[in-house]
Amino acid sequence: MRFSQTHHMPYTDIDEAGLGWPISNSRFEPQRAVEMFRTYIHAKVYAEECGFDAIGCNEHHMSPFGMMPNPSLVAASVLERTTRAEIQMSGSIVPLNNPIRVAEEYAMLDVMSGGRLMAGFMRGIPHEYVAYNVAPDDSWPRMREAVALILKCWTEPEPFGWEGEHYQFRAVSIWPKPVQQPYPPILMSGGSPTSARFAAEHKAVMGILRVLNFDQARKLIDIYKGKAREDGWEPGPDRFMVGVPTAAAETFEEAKRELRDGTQYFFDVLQGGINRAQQLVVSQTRFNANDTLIRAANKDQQMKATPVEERIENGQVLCGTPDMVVGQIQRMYAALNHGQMNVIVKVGNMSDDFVLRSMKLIGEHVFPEVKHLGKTETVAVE
Amino acid sequence: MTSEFKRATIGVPSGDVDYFTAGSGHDVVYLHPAAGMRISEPLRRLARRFRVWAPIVPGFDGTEFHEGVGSMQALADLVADFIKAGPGKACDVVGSSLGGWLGAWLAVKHPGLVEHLVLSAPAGFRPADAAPLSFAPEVMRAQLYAHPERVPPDDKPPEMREANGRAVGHYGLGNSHDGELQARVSEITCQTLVLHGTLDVRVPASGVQMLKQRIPHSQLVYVYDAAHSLELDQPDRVGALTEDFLVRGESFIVNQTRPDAAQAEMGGAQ
Repeated sequence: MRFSQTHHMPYTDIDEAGLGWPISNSRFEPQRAVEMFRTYIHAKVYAEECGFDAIGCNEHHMSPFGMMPNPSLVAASVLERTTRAEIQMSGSIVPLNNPIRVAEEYAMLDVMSGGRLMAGFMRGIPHEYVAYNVAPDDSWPRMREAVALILKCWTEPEPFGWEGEHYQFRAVSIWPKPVQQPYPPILMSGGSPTSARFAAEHKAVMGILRVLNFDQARKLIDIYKGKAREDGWEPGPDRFMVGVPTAAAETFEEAKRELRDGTQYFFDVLQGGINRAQQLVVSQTRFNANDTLIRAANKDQQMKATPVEERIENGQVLCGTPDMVVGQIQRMYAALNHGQMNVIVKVGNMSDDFVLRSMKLIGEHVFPEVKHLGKTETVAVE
Repeated sequence: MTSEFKRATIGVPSGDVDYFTAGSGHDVVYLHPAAGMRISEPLRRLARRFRVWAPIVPGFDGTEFHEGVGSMQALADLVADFIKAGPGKACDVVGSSLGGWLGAWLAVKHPGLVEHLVLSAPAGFRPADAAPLSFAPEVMRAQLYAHPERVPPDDKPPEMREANGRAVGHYGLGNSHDGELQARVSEITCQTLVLHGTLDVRVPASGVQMLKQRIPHSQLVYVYDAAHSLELDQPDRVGALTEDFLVRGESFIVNQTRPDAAQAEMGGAQ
């Protein structure tokens, strides 16, 4: 089992963010942000010391939910202070960005890190489309075309042009190209049947970054496997990453309190305006047509009120003493047979001291018990 | 001359050549694919800006073979004769699939007759060790079109389509591999645009990458969401690229969203 660390770098010095979109930044205190960035980058770097295999960087816009509108900048900072951990871009919201720029930045990060990049191609969540004024209806066509173009940027032996529906470039030849050949491992979200099939098409690691319950996660994994078998290959556990908010402490009570309070803050403050933008997008566009995210969003509000014990039971979180967390991971592995876990170490306004202690406990007491799980690698079918 | 195509005949030393022609302005010779001549949208678009000459390769579309013309090299000489007899001077050349193969030979053997060259999904550039091409109708259809719903009805009678298939055999084009041409494409001196569909499996990407690498003044553009029949799968994209390249040559890589304004600012200079 490989473990990556995710820290969304939230702005937590506000008590309420309102319910409208966009979320006003009138109460943003730059000096506090300076401190937060130092603390948060340190927490990311510390993940390597704790034994995490990868450090996540993700893109979100115009919200205290996460102050990482350009994840490449954070990745560049982290990679200079680490030597071993994979830089897991989870990742660039591809339909919002210039695909050439994504190809270039990711190639830079791969070179700068000596080949430690995992290239995440995300479609993003609805409010990002409002933030960047991109038609949500275009999200999938732009995603498909942008990914194809980025892979061309990395694999073409000669300069080329591109004439597509959303992107036109007459002369492309990026410098540098990635170190990892033909290109870095790819990570894609698998939060819906459409995205699960798309990830399988690209033999990408599929991240189920929000688990509602084991049945939902298993269905998405089965969809991926079905598409892979159609295409003639057999994915191993290494192709599946499950993301879970996590709190480990010396006592269950402390872990539970931190997780419960952090979750409350997450839904009441950080998620406030985002929900409104999401409702507007899904009610007026086909962003989630045929997919499950609408239902997932509706579940969010239920999740806020769900007791921690029930959330553990559903596989939505890891919480407790290290021994308890080991048991929860083993149970999850038995249900999903996945080979990667994305540990969300800061939930809401969880204290930064607790985040570091939780990571240390996980590294010292959890990893030795579970890293042997899910070691089988993907093989091509003859 | 209007943009409506008219059929005519012109004499060359080896016999008569039927051709379609339309438009006015700079001369553009269009060389058709193995399915024969079809007045596609990109071709109509060209005819709104240029004088288009579209010869029918002897043996295709109900025409007679010419004695002694049984290879692509001989066909290239025939097209050279056609240009001398028709446009009467050097012109731009656009070739699609088989026509691209032919256009490449024309540019190699008669460089003085070709000003700009567009090779759209050019056949002839499959690797020597590539698996044989399938000509089974259902396989062909799947490999030719990413969007079969966009393909206009084929008005050619079945016997003509069969005869076109025999013409492909007559010129020895079946395996779509021409090692001699591949060795000589570096002799092409004119500005060349190579177009390739991202879903084209009949001409592998390695073939057009080789062209880009060997032709000194060349551009390779991938047309997204298109299979081998680029003109039918993505007529707007192919038409716009071809027209822009023929008008602006190498400078077509520069984005010119308001060409009229830019031209006025430059005092009308190109």
